[in-house]
Amino acid sequence: MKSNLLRFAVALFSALAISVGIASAQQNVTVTGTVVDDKGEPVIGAALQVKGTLQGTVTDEYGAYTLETRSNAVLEVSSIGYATQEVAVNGRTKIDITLAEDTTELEETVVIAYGEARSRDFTGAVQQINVSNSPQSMMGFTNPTEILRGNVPGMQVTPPSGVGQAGSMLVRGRRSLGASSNEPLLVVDGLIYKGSMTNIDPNNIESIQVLKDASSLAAYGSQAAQGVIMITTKKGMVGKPNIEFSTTQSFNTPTVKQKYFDAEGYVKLRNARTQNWDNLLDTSFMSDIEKKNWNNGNNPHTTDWFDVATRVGHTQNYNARVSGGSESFNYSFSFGRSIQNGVQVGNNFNRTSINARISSKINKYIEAGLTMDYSGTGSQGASASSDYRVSPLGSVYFDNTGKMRKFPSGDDTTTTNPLWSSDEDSGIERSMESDRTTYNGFLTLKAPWVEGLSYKFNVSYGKNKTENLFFAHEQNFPSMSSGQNEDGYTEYDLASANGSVSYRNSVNWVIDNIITYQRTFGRKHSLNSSLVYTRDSDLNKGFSMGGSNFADFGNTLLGVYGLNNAGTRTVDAGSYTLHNDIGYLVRAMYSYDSRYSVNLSFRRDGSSVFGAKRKWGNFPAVGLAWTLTNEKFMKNNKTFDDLKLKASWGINGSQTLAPYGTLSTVTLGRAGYGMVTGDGLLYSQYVSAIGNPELGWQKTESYNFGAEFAILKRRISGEINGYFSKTTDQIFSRTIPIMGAGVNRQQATMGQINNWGIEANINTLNIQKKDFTWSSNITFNLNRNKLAKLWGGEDEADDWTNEFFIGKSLDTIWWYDQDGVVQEKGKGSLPTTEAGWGNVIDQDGNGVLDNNDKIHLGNSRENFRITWGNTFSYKNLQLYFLINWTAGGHGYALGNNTFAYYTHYGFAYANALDIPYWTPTNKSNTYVSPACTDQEKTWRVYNSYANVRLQNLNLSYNLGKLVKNWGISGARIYVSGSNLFYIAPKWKVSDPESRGRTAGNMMRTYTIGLTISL
Amino acid sequence: MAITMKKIFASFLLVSLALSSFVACESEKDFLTEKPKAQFSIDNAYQTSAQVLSTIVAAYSNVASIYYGKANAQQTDELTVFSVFGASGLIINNWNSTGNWSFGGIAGDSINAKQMWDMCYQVNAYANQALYASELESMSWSSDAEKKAIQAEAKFLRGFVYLRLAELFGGVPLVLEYSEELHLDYERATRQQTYEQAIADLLEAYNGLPESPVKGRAGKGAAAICLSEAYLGLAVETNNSSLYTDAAKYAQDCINLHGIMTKRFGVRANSADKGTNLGVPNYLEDGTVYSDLFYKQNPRLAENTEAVWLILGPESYAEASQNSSVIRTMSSRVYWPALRDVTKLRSDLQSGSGEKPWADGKFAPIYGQVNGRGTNIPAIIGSGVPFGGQPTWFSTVQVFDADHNKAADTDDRGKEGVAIRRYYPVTNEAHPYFSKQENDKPYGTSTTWVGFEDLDKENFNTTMEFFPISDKRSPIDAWGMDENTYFSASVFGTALYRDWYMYRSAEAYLLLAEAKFRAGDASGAAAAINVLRNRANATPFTASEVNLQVILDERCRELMYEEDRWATFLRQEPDLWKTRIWSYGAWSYSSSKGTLNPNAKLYPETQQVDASHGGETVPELKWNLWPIPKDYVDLNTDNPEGMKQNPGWE
Repeated sequence: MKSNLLRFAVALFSALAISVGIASAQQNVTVTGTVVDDKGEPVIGAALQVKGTLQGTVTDEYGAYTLETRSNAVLEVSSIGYATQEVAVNGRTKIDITLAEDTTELEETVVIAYGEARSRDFTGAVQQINVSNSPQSMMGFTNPTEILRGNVPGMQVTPPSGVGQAGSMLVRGRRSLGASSNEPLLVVDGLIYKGSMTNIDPNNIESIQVLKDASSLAAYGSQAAQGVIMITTKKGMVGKPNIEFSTTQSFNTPTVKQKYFDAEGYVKLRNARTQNWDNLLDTSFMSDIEKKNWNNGNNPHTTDWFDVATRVGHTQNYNARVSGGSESFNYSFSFGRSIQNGVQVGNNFNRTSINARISSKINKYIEAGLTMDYSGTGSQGASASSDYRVSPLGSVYFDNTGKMRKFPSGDDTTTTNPLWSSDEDSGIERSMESDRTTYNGFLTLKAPWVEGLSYKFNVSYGKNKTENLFFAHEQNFPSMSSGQNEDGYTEYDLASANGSVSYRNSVNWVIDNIITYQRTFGRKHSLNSSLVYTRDSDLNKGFSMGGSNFADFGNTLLGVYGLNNAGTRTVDAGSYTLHNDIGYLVRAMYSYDSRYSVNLSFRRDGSSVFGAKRKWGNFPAVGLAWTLTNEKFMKNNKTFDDLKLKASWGINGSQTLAPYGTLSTVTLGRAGYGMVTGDGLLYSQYVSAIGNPELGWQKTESYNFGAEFAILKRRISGEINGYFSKTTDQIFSRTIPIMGAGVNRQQATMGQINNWGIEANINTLNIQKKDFTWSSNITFNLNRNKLAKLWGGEDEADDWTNEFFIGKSLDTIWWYDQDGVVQEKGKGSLPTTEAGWGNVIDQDGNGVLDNNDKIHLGNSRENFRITWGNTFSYKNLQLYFLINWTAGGHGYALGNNTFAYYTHYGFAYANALDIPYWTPTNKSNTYVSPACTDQEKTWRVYNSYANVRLQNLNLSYNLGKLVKNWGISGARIYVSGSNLFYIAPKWKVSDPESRGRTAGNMMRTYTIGLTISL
Repeated sequence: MAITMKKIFASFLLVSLALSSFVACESEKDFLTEKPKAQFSIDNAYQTSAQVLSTIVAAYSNVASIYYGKANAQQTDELTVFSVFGASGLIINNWNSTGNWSFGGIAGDSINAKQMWDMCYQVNAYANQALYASELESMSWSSDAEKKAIQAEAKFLRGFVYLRLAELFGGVPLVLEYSEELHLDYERATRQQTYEQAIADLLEAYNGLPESPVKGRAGKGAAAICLSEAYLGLAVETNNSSLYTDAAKYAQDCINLHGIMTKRFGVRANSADKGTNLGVPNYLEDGTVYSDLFYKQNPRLAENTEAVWLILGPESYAEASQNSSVIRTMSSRVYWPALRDVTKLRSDLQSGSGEKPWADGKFAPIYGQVNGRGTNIPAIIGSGVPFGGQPTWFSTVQVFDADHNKAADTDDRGKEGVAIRRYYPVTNEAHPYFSKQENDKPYGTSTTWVGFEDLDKENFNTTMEFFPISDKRSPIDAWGMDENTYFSASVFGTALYRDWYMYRSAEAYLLLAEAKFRAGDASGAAAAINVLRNRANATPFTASEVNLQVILDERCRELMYEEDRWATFLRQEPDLWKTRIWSYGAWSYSSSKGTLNPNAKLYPETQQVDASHGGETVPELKWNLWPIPKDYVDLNTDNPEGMKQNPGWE
């Protein structure tokens, strides 16, 4: 399938390239002229861009410009504060352009659910990010979550945990007790998308909208409460065919290099664990290999496992696109390939994507289009383990043959070589391939007899296939005794060899029927109303099997394809889930005189996952907006160029239930337990879960209040929103008396979580001169959540088991307080705490640590976040950087940083970070003694991860005329860096944002990139 | 033009509506109704008698999950259970699930008591499900007898769990119908009513069950022995001495159906058998009939009439691994010490992956090098993680001494190296213990043998890493190991496949003795006990020597690891068993949660109270019954008085 698609793509491209080559043999002209405003004043620094290309220039201090381009080009003229205009060259050489003041900028539309709305009438809170040609498109990003990170007020994006992973997203705070159900709904080109963010090539993205308030979300009813991410992909532009090729090459290193004890430090550490302080002579704990490496002359042979298990990662992105169109037809084809080799040795991922879009206006009344998206991802091999705490005196390889050792110390009593599973000597084969294909089609019909009435039929069909193969050959199970000399292992355990295969298939479709009536009556009444009927369906099937023990068969040469020869063969239970939804939406957006706008919507949703008695739910929403600057009384105001106040209220839902989660189920056969009898093995059958037909959607009711403004001739503009929401009917597995049906858990609804927050997005144009502009974007984000109710009732108690505290945030940290290190036994808060152990506070003084001693130490979420993005343009040079400040204080932004302080780990042989731990002669009050064995009870450190970082930096140069002679119409080269630098005063040893021990979690990335347009 | 357009529009509209209705032709109701394919629901689950039997199997399997290890019996006078296993063991001094070391100041949220309660009520629910299903219209039965037999088996399981509930928790809610409806208004019956419910069910079972059931399932004998126990409990509870007659009658019934073994039998008793397993001869010359009862799969032999109710293990490694997710296999290693290099500190040894006691000889000096372990040395190989149940000093040593057993050395049930292994060989000449002891220990070979008293206790935690093992749980030598797992690096010998007794008719003699003694017939009691003592070559007791404490001692000698010690205790008068816990229990376990005090000197000096806990002395037990699980007390909001907590746990 994949190779066919590739072949198809190559053929398609060759054909298009040839045809475009012919078509593009056009004449070039030099166009000159001036750009003035409606008062005749020159517009300085107005940008002229040849549409669909990178070609362009800016006006000088007299508003004049010169531009060389093709005679049939279309110029896009824009300047902040003015409406963007398109001008066709039509062979002219002198074109003067008058820009209208930016009332038309307000005519801009925002993409909303099932349609578009005029920005000036819009009542909700939606953040739009224009991706195409933005600095974000030049960072070498591999999936869309990276674009969103730090760019959307009200949204939190955590960095991905390795290549091929998407970061997790959170819009307007945590609403769910269950951690997994907070991800927003994903919509691509207007249709609910069931693929994942990793399927989407960022190069294909035109813009992203993040819907945040209830009135914008209500159109997605029961699926919307966690926010909606709408991605709009690139389409063909009217004008000449454009062929664009872009590539980025990124090199990654961990943002933090962890330094572990060297050989000497390790020997001291090992002895310190048995309170044999500062002893370099006692080597009785060493294996033979360790002894050999230690006694290597005067120079111990040391391995730095962090170095060994990490590398400079390399990510390559390639994208080619052919697009174009006329008034009646446009097309876009693209082919993308991303090859990602992560920082962790063996952490590899690749993606191939093919996208095609065709749409045609058949006549004045009919428009139809088709899209096809294919995304194939794969990863081969296994990643090196991130446990760098292996003995620095161990050996990675056998000396004589260079084969890899499974156990660096030569015996199987310590940890496995971190590189082992990523190395071919380990006999591990692993591959994970996933293909996703989505076909979308639409048909729009405008009613000829009623102006403004149209009908749109959307259909999307997607297929996802995931194949997971794993095999561990007998080489993965070497006999230790066979590795006694330095040649390597010779004997292997065939009985332990094992493998598995699993397949998952999913098919999903969405059908939307949308009737829109959009019309302006007279000059003052504007109406945009929609009726939507939609169904969607998601079917998942999975099968897996495995086998182990090839002792009888004698070899594993066939690998995973020889599983049938395994001594033990297993077929796991198949899985089948079907999830269907139906939705009705009625929506009306009415605006009077561009002053008062109201948005009313009502969605009624049915879902198969809801209980039999609650299949349907209603989701109303109201939004209001008042544009003050259009009022007569504001005519004379000099301050505001634009001021709009808005408010919205609505109820959204979220489907936190899995299919069949409301039904009673019977477990039987091999899925359950059995027993051996004199008649052989008998299987059991019993009710294992009790259904609850009353279960429905989780409900969020929210209010949003906001203001949009522009001042100082629109040089400062922005939007501020505040919100409050309350989420009820959390679906939760509650304890029930087991006496009834032998089951002691049942899903039920409960609880209330409140969220409030403030977010702002401010754009400023700081300097605008000929050849030089500086503009900034500032976002502010603050969110608080609180568990308002758990079960309900008068005096509810906190749930200590699940750590739910009424009146507290879901992110509260509840743990023992701790005050330095006990310097002398008996002097600590607990008399039993040994010297050198953490001084954990026994709050109630009863001599033991228990839940009564735990206190609320702080909150694991940030206090607030401010980002500051800056763009400097000088002629063809553009510099962009984004600073992201995650603020702590008042107990916020606390993370578990124990790793940076602890030297015991519960493993006697583990090496530790090179830290000045407590010894009787070095009485640290910060770092506990390596002899402290009670990690859980006596040492857990929370530090603030508050940090300021230079998250993104991008310098690009538009080659413009320089490359013209080579037949290239435009080109841009750029260098970028992400996570180049941060300051985190209180955080140690790992990146404050990812806070993981694994090196690959947070990468510093250096990217070079090139975009060429023919 | 406009007219044509209208036509075109209309036709397009028709086409697209047709398209959308094609995919959307399902009615909304059907579209939203869930029809799971990969799972059953209760509506379509029962049609054949085999499916009802499967529900009975679920109940048996649940019994096995708790009773395979008999973990519920722990931390009495016979066994103590450590931290890791605490999740399913009953650890008195760790009652409080939040981890307080508090022997007496206790909360009712013990996870251990809850697991027992949950197991019992799950068995009850499955029994009720089976009874409900057996009466469904959709069921087809081959004969009325088939239906009656299955219903009798369901009643047996229900009676068995109500017996346990009455013994351990006292009166409990009697739930006798299957229902999925959520109730928060349960009402505890009295303890008497609970015993009576057990007896009613067991009597029906007694009348309906076959005399020779399929091995692994219950028959008439199992119902009889449970009835005997239930009548004893009811008699003590109601002070009604006439019930001892019933208790004696059903004990005798069980004995009649299941005569005890009196001659050597089975896999290690045949002197003509020259075969070996792992280098150890099949024929065990100094074996006894008592030890023969426990060798791998001897319990299920047809000739073994003593087995009343068995839980069968898989027959082989292959069967076990093929069905590892289905069979609730007992981890024998729970009862193994983690024998490692005993000169090392525990903190050195507490490691993660890959640590095996014999790995390249490193951790195995106490039983020799890799190549040596196939010889006739004990096959006790500590587990990857040392967890387990340790027998008390009382149960492995003291109970066989002259004070308790008249003549110390003759009892087969304490025979060193056959029934119990208290000494381990040191074959590594480099080991400091090799020369530490003279060869005055049993099996006076060139090997040095080490027992508890020899260990360097400053450096060595005897609780986890060194204690006697019993033939009933762990093979006394390598013969009992499975060769497929013995040499495997991945399972390192811990997978054992053997049968376990739920009830053995020897216990019926002890119930008989108790019934007779309580009814005033001391000589009858002595006669019953002496049947077992004679078989074990122990000196018989006279009538005047027998009392209830002596019967409890005898139960310990005969049924160590087998009986449900807590049930035996709690169905009797509190004064009787509380003194035993004072005198013989080991509660030096000291940590607040999970880790042992490295300085604890537990064995053989039992009863130490760790000074690090403020010199806390063992307080008096304020309770006579296990706590009703706090969850269910709290959840009973519609009838708060109905699930009143047992005294001492409030």
